[in-house]
Amino acid sequence: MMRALSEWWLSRLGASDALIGDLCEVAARRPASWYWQQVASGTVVLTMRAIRREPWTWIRTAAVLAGVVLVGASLLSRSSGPGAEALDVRVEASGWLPMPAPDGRVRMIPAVVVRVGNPTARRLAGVQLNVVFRRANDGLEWDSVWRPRIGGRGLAPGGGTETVLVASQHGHVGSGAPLTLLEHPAFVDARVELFARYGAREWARLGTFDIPRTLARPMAAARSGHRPMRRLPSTVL
Amino acid sequence: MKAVLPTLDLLVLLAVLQLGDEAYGVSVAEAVTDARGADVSMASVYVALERLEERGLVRSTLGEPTPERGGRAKRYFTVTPAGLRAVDATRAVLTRMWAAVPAFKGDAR
Repeated sequence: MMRALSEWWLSRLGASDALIGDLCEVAARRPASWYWQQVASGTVVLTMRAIRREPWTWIRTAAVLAGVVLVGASLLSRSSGPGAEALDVRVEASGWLPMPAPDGRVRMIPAVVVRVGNPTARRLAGVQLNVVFRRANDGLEWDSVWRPRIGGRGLAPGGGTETVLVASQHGHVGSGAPLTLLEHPAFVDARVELFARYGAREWARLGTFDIPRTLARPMAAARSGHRPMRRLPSTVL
Repeated sequence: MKAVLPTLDLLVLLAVLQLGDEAYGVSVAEAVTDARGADVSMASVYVALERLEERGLVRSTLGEPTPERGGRAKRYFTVTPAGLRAVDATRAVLTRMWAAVPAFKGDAR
């Protein structure tokens, strides 16, 4: 059966009847390993000859095969393992960060400190986080912050990231002490929506959290680094 | 300028010349293997033979099909006059090159 298959394979690659007959003749007095070595080397030699004779046919075939493999791998990657909902994203702290603004004023920006955990039994690579800051009263978006590659090379089973500070670029701008600004009558509260994904999985919405009207810890502010796209400008109080 | 045959093509042509009427894939491959002291794949030999036939340096005829070959016929090869001239030209080029290498001067190998 395997011999017949190998003969069919070689003939598909352009081996002549005489070559296949020669292999049959010698194989009868040689070990099986000799025959399979001939089939392997014949595959390489005949393929190279076919590529030299019809390069564009082979380039097209190789491109189609590469496409099929890529699509298959992508589908396999999406279908295997848990969805992004399995990620355990916890808000460890949240509040408002006072940041310097022009003319000696203060910008109060909403911020959250999150930790992403992996409660599954497999390593999760390519974890990403998207945090959308909205005004609590009308739902308009202040800012969204995307954090790719959280957890470096991947989260080990049962493991998690360090705490990650995510802050909006916009909020309220006003004069006076930060605590005073939090009590301003025009102050609008904020809430965040958390989205996460890993690998090639779809984004999963992991929840909405209200930002309390308190000052966030200054230490957390010092760790803010990533910069987001512009959304609503800060509200002047 | 006369083209110099690639090494495998030259070995295959010389094997066909040595074997005369008995030159077919298996016997040619065994002759080349004996000369080189290393195995050569049957497919490589056939690709070389087909290349030589396309260049008109060998011609082939089919023998009778036999059961031990799965009912497939042997293809026998003979060297054409053009093939003989190609072997001779290659030998002349290689000899001149060898003669110009000091380390090989007077070497009878």
